Amino acid sequence: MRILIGLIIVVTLALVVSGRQWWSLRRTPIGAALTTGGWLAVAIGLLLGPHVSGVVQRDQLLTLQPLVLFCLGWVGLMVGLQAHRRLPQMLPGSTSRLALLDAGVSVVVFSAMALGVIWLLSDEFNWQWYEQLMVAPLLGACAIGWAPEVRSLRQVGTADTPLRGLLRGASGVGSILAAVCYGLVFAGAQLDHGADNVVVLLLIGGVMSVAIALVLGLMTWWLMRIAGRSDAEFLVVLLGTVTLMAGGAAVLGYSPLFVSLLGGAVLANMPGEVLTRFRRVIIDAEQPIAMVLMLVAGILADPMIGQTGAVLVVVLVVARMVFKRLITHRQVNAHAGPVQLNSPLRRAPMRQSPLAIALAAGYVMLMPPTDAVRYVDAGQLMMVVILVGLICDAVPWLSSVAIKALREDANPAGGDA
Amino acid sequence: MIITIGLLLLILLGLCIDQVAIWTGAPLSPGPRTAMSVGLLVLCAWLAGMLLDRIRLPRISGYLLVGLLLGPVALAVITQNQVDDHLKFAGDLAIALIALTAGGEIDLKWLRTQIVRLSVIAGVEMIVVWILVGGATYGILQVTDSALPTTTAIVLAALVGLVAASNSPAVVIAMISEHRAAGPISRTALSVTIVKDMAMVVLFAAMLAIGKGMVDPETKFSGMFLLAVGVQLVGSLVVGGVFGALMAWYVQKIGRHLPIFLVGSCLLIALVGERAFSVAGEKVHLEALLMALSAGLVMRNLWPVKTEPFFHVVEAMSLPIYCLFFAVTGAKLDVQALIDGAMWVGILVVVRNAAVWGGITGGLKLGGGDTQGQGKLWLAFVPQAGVALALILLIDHKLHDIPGVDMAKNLLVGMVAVHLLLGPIGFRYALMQSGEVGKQSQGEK
Repeated sequence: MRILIGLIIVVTLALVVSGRQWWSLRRTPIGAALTTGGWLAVAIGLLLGPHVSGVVQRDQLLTLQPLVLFCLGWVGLMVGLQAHRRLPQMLPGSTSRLALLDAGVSVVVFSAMALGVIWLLSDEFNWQWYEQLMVAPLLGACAIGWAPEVRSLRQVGTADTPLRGLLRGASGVGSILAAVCYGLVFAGAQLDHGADNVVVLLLIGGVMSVAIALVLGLMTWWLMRIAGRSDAEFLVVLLGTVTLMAGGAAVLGYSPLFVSLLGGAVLANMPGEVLTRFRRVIIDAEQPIAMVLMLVAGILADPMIGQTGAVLVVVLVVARMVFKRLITHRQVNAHAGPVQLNSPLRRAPMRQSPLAIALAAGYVMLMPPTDAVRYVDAGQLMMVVILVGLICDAVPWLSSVAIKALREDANPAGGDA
Repeated sequence: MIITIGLLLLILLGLCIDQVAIWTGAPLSPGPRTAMSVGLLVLCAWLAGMLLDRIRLPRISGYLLVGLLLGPVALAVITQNQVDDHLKFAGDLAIALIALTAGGEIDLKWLRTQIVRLSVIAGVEMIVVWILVGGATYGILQVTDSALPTTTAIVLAALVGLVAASNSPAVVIAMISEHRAAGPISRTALSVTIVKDMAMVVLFAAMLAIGKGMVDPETKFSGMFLLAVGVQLVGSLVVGGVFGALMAWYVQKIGRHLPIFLVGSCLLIALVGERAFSVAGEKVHLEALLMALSAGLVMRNLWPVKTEPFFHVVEAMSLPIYCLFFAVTGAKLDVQALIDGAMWVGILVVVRNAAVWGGITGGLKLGGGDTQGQGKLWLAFVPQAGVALALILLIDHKLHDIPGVDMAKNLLVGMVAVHLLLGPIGFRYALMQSGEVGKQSQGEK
């Protein structure tokens, strides 16, 4: 009964917010920012969640684990399918360099900052090293990359294609790096840290994750060939492999997103045309899958983030504003071309990637209750990631609106065209 | 050979993950296990179905066998807890989807002209099976437990007889869909099954209420239950019709993400079906199967063209859901009950099959119409699955403190197991012999 209630609420809302009318909102800049970022879905989830209206209770959420796993598996596969062996050659070197630089700096800087805040604001100091490391690197992984959506930041009449290409390309590579980083964080967090053979267990699990991904990736390719053109058999293979990859990984205590990413990467590098349809269906369903994850994130989030959470949000937002600009400054300038210095497109890297919400939701949802994150509660952690994303999304958009208004004031007849 | 290797590899992978998770002490949570089980069951069932298809056996038998193999009886990759609880949604989803498909297959104009004939066939078959299997069960109960009171034995025998009269709408729809069959046997089998299912809702509720009143002195029999059953039946059809209209509206006006919409609708129907409410002091709930049937019927008959894309999606989604549903049903099979009472179960199976043959043959003659080529129609009514298992659970739930109920339950479980495993083979044979296989693509419905 409970699983049905939970599933129906989430599926219905996901359908509504991914419907045609909702989709048409994307034509406006604010609509693009809200719908692509999924903030409306997050808001609905928050309203339904145990912390606001209580329509969906915490224990009902746990019954949604298989659905969340499926969505994470889907997202992982979608990201992994980009990892073709020729990707480094296909992308300009500057894109890969930017993505790698961003990933490296983000993980180190944001993890260190999160760790510092949690350390400074904690009243107790008898906690273990791994307890700190549970939250900090997760926030570091969430900080990698930026939102690929640039429609809302585009200036009418400007030819900003090279910069758009760079930002979108680096965002895609950043998603892969974020999922890999998240896989390591997830695996570390799920381990029994009291055990003597932690390193051995970590290695065995890692090998198993790769083995599952390899076997299932190859098997999916083979099964796709068997399924041929039949829609029904194609669906069997798609649904079966996504759930098996994600579920198998989670049973072993490893990130379903990471294992699916590896599976997707295996698939992306297989020969033949059978994957064209697979890729198309995976990408077609992106919107409802993302909306399910956003709704779940909203339901999980606890608005009462407390002192530690509030400070974390401020620190991470400021860090994002400063460091993303520093990291991307050189490359953006090199690709800016005709883009003006005050173009909002230059501020695109400040916006958090939507993948961050999926990473945090998966982490909070699949964390065993006994290992509940200390000092920053699971719901608060989710809220921190949401708030950072929301504020960082709003700043470039608000600045673009302000600039536009100022220009119109200065030149009421001609506009900025 | 390649399919066999693939199947074995998948099973091996499932076992490996299971063992490594135990060995490494990975945190056990039902959600991940459920997801893994769903993936494993769907893929293995599909491959096993293909394997059996190559040796001219129904794919459904492959799905069932995979469930049996991976389930708690054999390899235990799927645990009893999962089968009973976490994978229950597969049944809810499948029942609604199957009924939607069935509703979409019914042409109201044809049904209006045939309703009397179909009711006669269904009625005669149910009565014959009920009397013969009920009689045989009474004899078995008397032989195995001479101390059992006569009234109790009669009540239990009547209930066993009624459950024996049920057949599986899921298997009928899945077999017709799998073989893309169209023709008199497919059409009559589907329609009679639906008529029987509607009758079963009323008769079983009535018989259970009367039976409980007879064997349990503390339970007073109330005539108000008839009103409640009526509300249940009519309410299910009306609510289902409203669902159908709303679904047709979505398909026409929004029309996006139809597979997800389909799954959501089936889950919603299942949820409404699970909610109990009170009518004249009696606890009733709407029948998910009838609601979905009515929804499919309304969509197909009132908006046939506009809802066409939806039924295409239903068709495409059927295979993964059938694979999961029948594999879970296979995992549920209590093989021990079959082994323990093999002799008595064997007797009941023989009696039921003879009764189904006699009932259908008699019904076809009494019902009139063209009976040519329908000599093997009875084989469509042999398979039993989810409906019968649900009725057994109801008997166990309502009469668990009555002596002799365990024996009756074991007999039923054993009988259903045999008919579930062997029934589809017979039905496939009937479809093949009648030449109806593959006719659906030619537009015959």
